[in-house]
Amino acid sequence: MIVFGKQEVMVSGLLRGYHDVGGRPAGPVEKTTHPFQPWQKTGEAMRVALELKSRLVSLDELRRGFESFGAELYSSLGFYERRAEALTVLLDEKGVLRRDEIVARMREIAAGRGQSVDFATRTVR
Amino acid sequence: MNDRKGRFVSHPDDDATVIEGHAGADYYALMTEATRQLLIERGLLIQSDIDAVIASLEAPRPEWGAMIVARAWRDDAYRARLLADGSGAAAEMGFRIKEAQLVVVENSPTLHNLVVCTLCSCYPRSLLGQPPWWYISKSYRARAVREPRRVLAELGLVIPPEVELRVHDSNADMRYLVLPMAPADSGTLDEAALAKLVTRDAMIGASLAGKDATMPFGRSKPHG
Amino acid sequence: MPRFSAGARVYIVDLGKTGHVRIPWYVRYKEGEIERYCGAYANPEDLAYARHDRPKVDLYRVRLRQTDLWPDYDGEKRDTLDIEVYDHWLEPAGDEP
Repeated sequence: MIVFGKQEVMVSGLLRGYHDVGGRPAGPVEKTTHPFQPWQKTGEAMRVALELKSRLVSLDELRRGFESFGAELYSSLGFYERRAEALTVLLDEKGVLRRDEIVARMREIAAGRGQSVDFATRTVR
Repeated sequence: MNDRKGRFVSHPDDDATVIEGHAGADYYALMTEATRQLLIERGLLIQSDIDAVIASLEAPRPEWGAMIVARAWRDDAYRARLLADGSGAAAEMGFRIKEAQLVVVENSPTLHNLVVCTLCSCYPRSLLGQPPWWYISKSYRARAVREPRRVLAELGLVIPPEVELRVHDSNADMRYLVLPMAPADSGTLDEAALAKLVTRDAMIGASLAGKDATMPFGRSKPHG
Repeated sequence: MPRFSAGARVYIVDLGKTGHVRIPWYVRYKEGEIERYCGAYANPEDLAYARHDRPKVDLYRVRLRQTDLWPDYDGEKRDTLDIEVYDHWLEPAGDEP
């Protein structure tokens, strides 16, 4: 609590997550449509299958994942992208798959397609 | 805002504008493929586990919800059961809502319901499939609770001032389905024909049921 | 036996918890009315850390007036918002802590 003159002021929102966007200003709602991509289906399905099979990654854990990887990254990613990032965070945290193993495999797959990955900008060329 | 002792509560980041990013789709497609290969190689999943879940993600679609709505329009007893126990009434028609309890909220001439999930994008996926793009957008999540009438107007639906607008933030263990009003001229149609009038957006509360679903309320005056 | 019945006035507290919580900021410090009791569910604050053996918690839907949520609300006074709140985030309205 902070006291300004005689008025007591509670400072809230210090613990407000960046994902907690309800009420914040934002741009127009775009009524565009995008198909459900195969990689998005696979990503969702892997998380669900891991939960069904071994209770490995619950939905609330996945949410905690994207609520903890930082506001900057959260801002730059769409719905399915941030869930994919969160899955990697959690698999790494649980010691199931280390991030460096996933990164190495991403390089290999990309190389096989004649592509390269820029991990700093999260782009594939 | 003030707390219950009348102290002013300050929110330092109130005005931080929500940023709508869509970066990295190719990168995350690649990450997903790498993860899939590694999980299978380590014996943590087999491909058929993944395929089975994909099938369960692909099966649900708005038409399933539309069948429930059409039944409720034609059968008052079913409508009462649906409003009392959404999951149970959906199961009666063979639709199992797996992820949560289904709560059905009914529109009326004096009440319009709108669904949002401000924290992530909760949605009755096992009934309606994946939500529309605008529903998972940060702009919708941020604004639908604070300026819902403006958001609806942008989506093409003007709610008259005399109608109460009720927003449902789908934040925990319930999932929501809006039961729209039956179009005024639909009295002679059978259930199958009625179901065709029920759009996905109408079951979120972002439009009305009917052929002119994006038209404002004023059009649906009773005939005769 | 749930602590609140439909129609009861409640106050949504700010537990100031770090980690994963499902009570958004904008309803904290706000008063509303219990719309219904939803049953007891695993607490997402536990599930987020894979604690699957903790007791379930009561969940309610709380109805709030938009004009109570947003001082500058520019819709209609009659407009409302319903949200789910776990029991430990609620106090009876009118009680000073």
